[in-house]
Amino acid sequence: MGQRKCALLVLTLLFAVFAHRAQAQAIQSIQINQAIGVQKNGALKFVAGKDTVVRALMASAVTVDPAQTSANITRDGTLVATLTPSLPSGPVSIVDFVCPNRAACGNWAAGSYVFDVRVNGQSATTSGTTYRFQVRDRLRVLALAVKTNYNGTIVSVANDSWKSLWEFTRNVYPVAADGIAWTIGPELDASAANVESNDGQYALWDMLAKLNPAHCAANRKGDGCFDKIVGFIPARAGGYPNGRLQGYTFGNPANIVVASDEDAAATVAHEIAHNYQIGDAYDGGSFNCVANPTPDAFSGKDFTTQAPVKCTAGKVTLPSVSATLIPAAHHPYDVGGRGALPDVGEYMGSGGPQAAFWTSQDAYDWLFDRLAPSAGASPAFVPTFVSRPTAVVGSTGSQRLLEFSGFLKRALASSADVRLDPWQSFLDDVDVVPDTTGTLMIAALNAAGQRVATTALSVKFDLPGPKGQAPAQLSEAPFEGVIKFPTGTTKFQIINNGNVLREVLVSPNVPVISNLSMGVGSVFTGPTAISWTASDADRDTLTYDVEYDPDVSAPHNDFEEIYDNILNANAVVDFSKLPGGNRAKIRVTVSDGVNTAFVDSPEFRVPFKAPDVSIKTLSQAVFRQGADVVLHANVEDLQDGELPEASLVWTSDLSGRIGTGETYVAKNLAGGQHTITLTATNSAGLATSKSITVTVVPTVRRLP
Amino acid sequence: MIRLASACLAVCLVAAAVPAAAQGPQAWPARAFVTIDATYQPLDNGFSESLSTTDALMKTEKDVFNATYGSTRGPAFDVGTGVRLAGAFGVGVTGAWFQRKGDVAWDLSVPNPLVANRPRALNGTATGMNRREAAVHVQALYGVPLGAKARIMFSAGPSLFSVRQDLVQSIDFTEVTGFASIRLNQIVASTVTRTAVGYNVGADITWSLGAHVGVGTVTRYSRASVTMDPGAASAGVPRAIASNAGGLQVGAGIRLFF
Repeated sequence: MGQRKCALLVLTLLFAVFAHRAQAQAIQSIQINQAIGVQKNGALKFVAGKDTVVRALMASAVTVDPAQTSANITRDGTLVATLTPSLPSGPVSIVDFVCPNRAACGNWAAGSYVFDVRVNGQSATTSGTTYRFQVRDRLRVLALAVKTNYNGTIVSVANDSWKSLWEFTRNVYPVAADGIAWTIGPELDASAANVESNDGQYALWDMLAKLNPAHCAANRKGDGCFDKIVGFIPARAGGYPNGRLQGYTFGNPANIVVASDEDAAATVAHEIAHNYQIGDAYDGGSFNCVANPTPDAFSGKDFTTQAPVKCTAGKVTLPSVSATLIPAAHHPYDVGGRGALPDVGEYMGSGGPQAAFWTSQDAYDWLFDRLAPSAGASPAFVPTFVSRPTAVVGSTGSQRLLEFSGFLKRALASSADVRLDPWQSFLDDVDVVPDTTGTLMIAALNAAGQRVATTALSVKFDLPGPKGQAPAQLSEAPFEGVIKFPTGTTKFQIINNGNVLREVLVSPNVPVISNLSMGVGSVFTGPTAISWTASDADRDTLTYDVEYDPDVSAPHNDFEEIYDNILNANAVVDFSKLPGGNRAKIRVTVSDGVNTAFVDSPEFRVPFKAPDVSIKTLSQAVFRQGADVVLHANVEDLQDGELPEASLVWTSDLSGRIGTGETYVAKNLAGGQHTITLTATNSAGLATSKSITVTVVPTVRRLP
Repeated sequence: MIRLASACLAVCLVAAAVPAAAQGPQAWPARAFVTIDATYQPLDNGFSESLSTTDALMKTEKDVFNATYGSTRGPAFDVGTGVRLAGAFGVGVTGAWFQRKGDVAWDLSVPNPLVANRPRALNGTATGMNRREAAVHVQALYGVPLGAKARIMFSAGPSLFSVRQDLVQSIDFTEVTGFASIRLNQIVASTVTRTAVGYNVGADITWSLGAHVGVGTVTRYSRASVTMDPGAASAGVPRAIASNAGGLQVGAGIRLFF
C-alpha cells in the first residue's frame, strides 16, 4: 500500500468517525405537541392559545448542554420566544422546550409558526412545513356541587376538589388554555330529590338541565347558555343497597358525576365528548366506530342506531383497563403537567385510575374538526352566572316565547304518558324561533283552533349510559324547547302522529306578584329570608323562580337562578355564597303554568368575595436544580369568573417574584426550600394567597 | 549541604574543645549564650471537629460533619539566646519552628430530601493537611553547675504561638439521580492562622567543649490553646475548632558562649 493510499484510508476513517458522532448527535425531527404528538394520519392540527411543548427527537440519547441548546419560536415571520431546554438528570433521546408561562410564548396566538431548534450545537427547523395554530370554539360548562338526598340522608360534597376537574378536559381537548369556560355555580339544594329512586334521579337531572336559560333550547350557543351542566354529588353512603354510583344522565345538557370518583376528571371529558358524538370506548358501551373506533375485541351498541356493533379498525385494549390503547409511540404528552406519558387509554373508556386516561388520535382529531368556530361570530361568553332570559313578561322584547319542558314515555299513547313541568312565557328579541313540524310536536292554537305556531320535539330514549355502563334505554325521557307564543294563543297541544296527547290551556289572566320583602337593611351578607305575595284570578297553581343579579347595571351580568319552580311564596337566600355587588337585586318570577310575571327587589349591596385559590399538589415536592417546576393553581372568583394572568402572582420566599398565571413553569429555581405563594387579586382588590413548599436540591452541594 | 554543615559543626567543636579544658566548673561559662537545637515533638497533638447543623433543605433534620485530624509528630528546630543578669539567674528567648503534614479522616451525613430520617453518608481521608507552629518562648533562667564542664539551665516563662493549619472547610458532593445517595466531588480546604499566648517550662543541659562552644540537650514543654474557624459554605454555621499548640519537645544541639 502506498503512502498516499494509507493517508486516504486514515482520512476516510476519521471522516467516518466524525460523521458517526455527528449523526448520533443529530436532531431527527421536531415535534410540536399539544396533547398527542403523533396525530391521526399525520395531521398537523394545532390550537391557538393552547399550551404547547416543542420537542427535539434525537437520533440517540444525548446529554444536554444548555449553553448550546435552545428553540426559537417564530410566528408569521416574527420571533416570539427563545426557549431554554428542560434539563433532565441524564442523557435523553427527546429534548423538551416548555414555555415558562403562556405570555412568554405570545400566548400561542393564531398564526403560522416556524420552530428552529438547536441541541448541543446541532440545528433543525420546521421551515417548509406549515404549522398553523387555529382558533377553536370555547366550551361553556357550568359546574356546581349538589346537596344530595340518598334515601333521606342529605349529604353535601365534602370538599372543593371538583372545582378543578375541568383541567383534564382542557388538557386533552383541542381547545385553548382558556377554552373551557368552567363556571362555578352555587351549591344546588336538591335535597327534595331522592336519587335512590328513578323519580329522584330525574328530578335532579331536571333541576340541572333547567339551569340553562330557556332560550338555550332554541340556540345552544346563545348568551348565557352552557354546553354542559355538571352537577357533582357526594359518593353514595356506604352500606346502601344499590351499589357503586359514578354518575348518570338523562341526556343533554346535564350530567351528574360523583365528585370523589377516582376518575371523575376523565368522566367530565368523557361526558362532554358525547355531545360531539364521540362514543364510549369501554366494552359494552355506545360505539361510534367512525369517530373513535374501539378495540376490535369490544362489543357494544351503535351510538346512533343502538344496533349491536363491533369496530374493526384494529384497535387494541389498554391492559387492565376497559379502554382503547393509546401507545406511548403516539407521544401522549401532558403539557405543563406530567410531561411525556406511557401507554394510556382513551378517556372514553372506563375502569381505570385517572392517570390511565388521555386523548387518542381519533378523539383529538374528531373534536378538532367539530370545534371549528361556529359560522358567524362566536357568541360572546357571559361569565359567572346562569341567566334567565333577559326579557321576561313586563320587560322589553319584540316576541313572546314559551319555554316548555316535561317527560314523555317511550310508548306514547295517551295523556297519562305525558308529564309536564311548569312552563314559562317570556319576551325575547334575540333568538329566532322558527316553526318546525314533526310526528312529535307541540303546537300553539288560537281561539278558532288554528295552529299559530309549531315546534317539533326531539326525544331521545336511547342514550350512552353512565360511564362504564351499557347504553341507557329510558322508558321515560325528557323534552324541552321553545315555541312562539303569539297573541291570541288559547292553548298548546302535544301531538304524536297526529293524535293530541295533552292540551295545556292558556289561562286568561296573568298571575300577579308583589311585595317582595327582604327584611331590614341595604347590605346582605348571609342567609336571608325573603317572601312575596302572589295571586292568580284563574286560581291556577303558581310556581316561583328566585333569581339574583349582583349588578343590574352591568351589561353582561344576568340573573342567576337560586330556586326553580318552588311552590311556597318564601325562600332563604344565602348571600355569603353569592357574588358581591353594589347594585344587586333579587327577582321572583311567578308562573301559572304558561303565563308569567315577576317582581324585583330594591337594589341592595352584597359584599365582594375574595378569590378562591387552590394550588395543585405537585407530583413531587423535591426537584433537582435546573428541572422545570410546574406550578399550577385553580383560581375562581365569584365576581370576575376568570382572573387575568397578571392578577395571579407567584412568589418565593427565597427568590421573590417568580412569575404570573394559573400555570407557571419555574425554571432554574435557586437551591433551597422554597415556600411558593400564589396571590390572586380580583377586580375589587380582594386577594387570597395560598402556599406550597418546594425543595430544590442543587446538583452540586457544599457542606458544611 | 547537610554534609557541609556537618563538617563545619565538627570543625567548630574540635576548635572549641581545646580552651575549654583549661576552665573551672561554673553555671554560666559566659555572660551570654546561644542555643541551636534540633528537636523532636513526640506527643499527641491531634484534634477533631464535630458539627451538627440544621439542613437547609430538610429543615427538620441535621447535617452532621465530623473530622479527626491526626497527630503531627516529628522534628522541629529552635534557636535561643540567654543573658546572665545576676548570679545564677538570667533571661532568655527561644524561637521554635515546627512543620508537618498530616491526615484528616472525615465523614458527612446529609438528610435524604425525599425520605425522612434516611440520611446519606460520605466519608474519606484527606492527606497533606499542613500544620506549622512558630513559637517565641520568653524564659526566666536559672543555672546550676553539674561538675566542671556541665550545667543544667532551668527555664520557664510565657510563650507566643503562631499556628497555621490546613482545615477541611467543606465537602463538595453531587446528588445522585433519585437522591438515594451522594457522591464526593472534592474536599475544600482552607488555611487558618491563629496566634495564642501560652507558657513554657524546660531544662537545658550543656556540656562545655571550650570557652565559646558546647553541646547540650533540651527538654521543653510548652502549651497554648487555639480556636480556629475555617469558614463555612453555608451561612450562619459557626466553626470553632479547638486545638493545642506546642507540647513536649526534646532535642540536642550546639551551644555558643560569649
